Amino acid sequence: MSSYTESCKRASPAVRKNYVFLTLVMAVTDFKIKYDNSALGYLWSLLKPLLMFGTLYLVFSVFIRWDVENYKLYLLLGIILWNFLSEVTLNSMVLLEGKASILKKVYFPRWIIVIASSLTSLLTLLLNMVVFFIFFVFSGAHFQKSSWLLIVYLAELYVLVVGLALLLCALYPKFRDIHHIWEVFVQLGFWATPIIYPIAIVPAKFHKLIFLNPVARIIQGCRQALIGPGGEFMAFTNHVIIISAAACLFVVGLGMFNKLSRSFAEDL
Amino acid sequence: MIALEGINKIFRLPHDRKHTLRQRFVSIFQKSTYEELYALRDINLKVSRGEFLGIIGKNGSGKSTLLKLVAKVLEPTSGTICVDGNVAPFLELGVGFQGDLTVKDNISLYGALLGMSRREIDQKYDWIIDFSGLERFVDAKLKNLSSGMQVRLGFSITVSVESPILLVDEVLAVGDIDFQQKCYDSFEDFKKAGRTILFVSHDLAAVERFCDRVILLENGHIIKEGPAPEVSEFYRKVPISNNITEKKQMESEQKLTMPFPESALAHKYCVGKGLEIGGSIFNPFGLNTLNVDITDSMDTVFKQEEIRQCGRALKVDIVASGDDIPLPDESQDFIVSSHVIEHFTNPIKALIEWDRLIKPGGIIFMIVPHKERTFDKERENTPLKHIIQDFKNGIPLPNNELVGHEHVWITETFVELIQYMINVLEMKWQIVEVQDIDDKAGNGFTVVIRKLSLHTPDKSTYIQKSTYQESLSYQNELEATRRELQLIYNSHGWKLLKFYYKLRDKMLPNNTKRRAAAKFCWKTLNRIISFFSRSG
Repeated sequence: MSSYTESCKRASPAVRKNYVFLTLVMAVTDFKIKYDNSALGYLWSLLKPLLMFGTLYLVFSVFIRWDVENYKLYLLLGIILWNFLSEVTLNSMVLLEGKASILKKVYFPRWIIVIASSLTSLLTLLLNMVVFFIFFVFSGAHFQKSSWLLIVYLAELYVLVVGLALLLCALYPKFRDIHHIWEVFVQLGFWATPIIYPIAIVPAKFHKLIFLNPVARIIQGCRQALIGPGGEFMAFTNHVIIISAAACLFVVGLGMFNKLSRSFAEDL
Repeated sequence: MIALEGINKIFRLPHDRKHTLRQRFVSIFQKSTYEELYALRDINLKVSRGEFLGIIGKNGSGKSTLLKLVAKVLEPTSGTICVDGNVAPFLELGVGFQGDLTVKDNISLYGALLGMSRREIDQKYDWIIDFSGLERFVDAKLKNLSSGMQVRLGFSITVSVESPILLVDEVLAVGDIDFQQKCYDSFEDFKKAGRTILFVSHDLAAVERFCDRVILLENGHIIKEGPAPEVSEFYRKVPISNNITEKKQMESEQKLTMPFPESALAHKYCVGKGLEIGGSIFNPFGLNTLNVDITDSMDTVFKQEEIRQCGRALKVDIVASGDDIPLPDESQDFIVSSHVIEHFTNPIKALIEWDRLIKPGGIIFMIVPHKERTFDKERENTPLKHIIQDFKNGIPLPNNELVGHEHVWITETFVELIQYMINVLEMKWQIVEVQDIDDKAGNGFTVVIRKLSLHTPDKSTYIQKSTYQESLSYQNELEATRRELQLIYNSHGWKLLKFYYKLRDKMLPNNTKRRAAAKFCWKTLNRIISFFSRSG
């Protein structure tokens, strides 16, 4: 009996492979449903950040002027990355309600729904990056040697954001307030992170405070890697800080999720 | 193979659900209240490979919870579950369907949800389309299909999953006759293919047709297990239901078949809500009561007799030993028992427990068989002394059913017992009525006790001579204990006395005994305190 108990505790490799397939199917399904029945379809995922970018660009480039080289690219990159964060984390909570009927009837590892939705958003992020690169080329900027670091930053951002999403998703069924709290937090974060304003206008004594936020470090790093002119945020220590923060969040998020997701079927 | 060991599943139903942080915050300072609902209790079950197991029982008996535990959707509160192999749940057809996607996309999605791989879905795709008869609608959006088509699609996909274990939860209820036939055909195929199936259904004919073995669930217990015909026959015979219309029907039938009339005396005294200890359907009181019994098994001699006489048994609402009932103090208006107290090994303890449960002014209504009018004719009257001795020794109630009459009474000796309790144990009672030859079964007598609401009654009113002498000897005994305690107190002081009691409690062998002894000691202690405070 005991060996039998051991043997049936773990899913077989074949089953685990099917989970990967399920994750992909769910991600694609989410993406299809999101833009279904709308005239512009997938274009909306491009239009949304572009419209926001347009508004902010108008305000901060025409009315108020920052003295930043390639401000357009600087702004667009920041918005795209921040949008990714806010979309994944906010979606992770709404998701559960939408999937409640499945969660109550069928078993699959619950993290699949969070990962699937994050993949959907990742797809949007990548499409947005395409738009960004079109701008990039038209504005006459050039790729630098360090541009490949963008991929590293995106990977770091993804881990960090998924960790956050798991944590929020796990807590949501027990404390519904967290959705509203997080909405406010995202708004605050948007302004507390140098997205629309250059870091140079912030008094130096606040820099430490601002860069406590690993997302600010990622965004700043991406900009320095892509647009230049290089700087401290491409340094190895920066990566160490970001990766440790992301890893911490991910471990805590996954741990909480594993613990709390067991009762999802009852709490929802 | 599926193995469940010692499974308990408790649902906590909070009285006011807290979803927000503020509610949480405020509630930190409040005691959170919830009801615990035992969905499953101590389930032990093994299903071997290739077995077709039926699960029957009324609504809310825990059938679906059991399936969900096996499907891993729910976690057990305690116990271990072992499931060897993939599980395909038929819990609800098409539960993950997305109306905005095409039939084709939905097949991928639903298949993946049920654990199929991409290759499997590709292989099965044509078969699924064919089986569901939806060739023309492959690229149509699912929401534009009729609900019947959607169910067919769901069923086709589920059937095509090649998992060794299938969980089927009343899917047959939704379909038309053709669909049901299709289901049955598939079941035959599954059976031939040697897949393990757990089948929940109210359709006893289907259960008997397919299942090798059937379990009957009632209030989260497996109350019967065995071959299909046997269990379903048992289930048919004992239609225990909380359904209101059925209950009403049962009540009206009761009136036709019950051998004993309702007691007018009981209706005179028992007002409000109360408990009936060891109630039965052929001896009904027609009062607003919950039925307390030591077991809710239907296999006991008494329940079988009930079933034999009336075709069904009275539902047991609270499973508890009659002298240890898990309800709050002073929560009942009355307690009724008929032909029960004589089965108790320790009637004094039971009476004290009942006294605890009723409100001041409440009623304990007992019908006790009279020795001369029953098969106990030849036996000796139980002397009061024995009963008191049993109480002092804390004889516990046995855990199984109580068959024989532990004590034999005539009206006088029983009244004597009550008077002993009033006089010596200082129960705040009054005997309000004694009816020799009760107006119900006719072979006993009725004693009605009222719990007094205010003061200790004037004892002298109730004491008869014989009882007085009887109790006097016990007064002497009590006096001896008192002296012993006083000795300890004088030499070691108060703290030591407490310690002495603790020690004595610990040394007593079992729980029931310990409690009885402790209660007795504290009563004595109280007396000493009052004695000293008076003299001081």
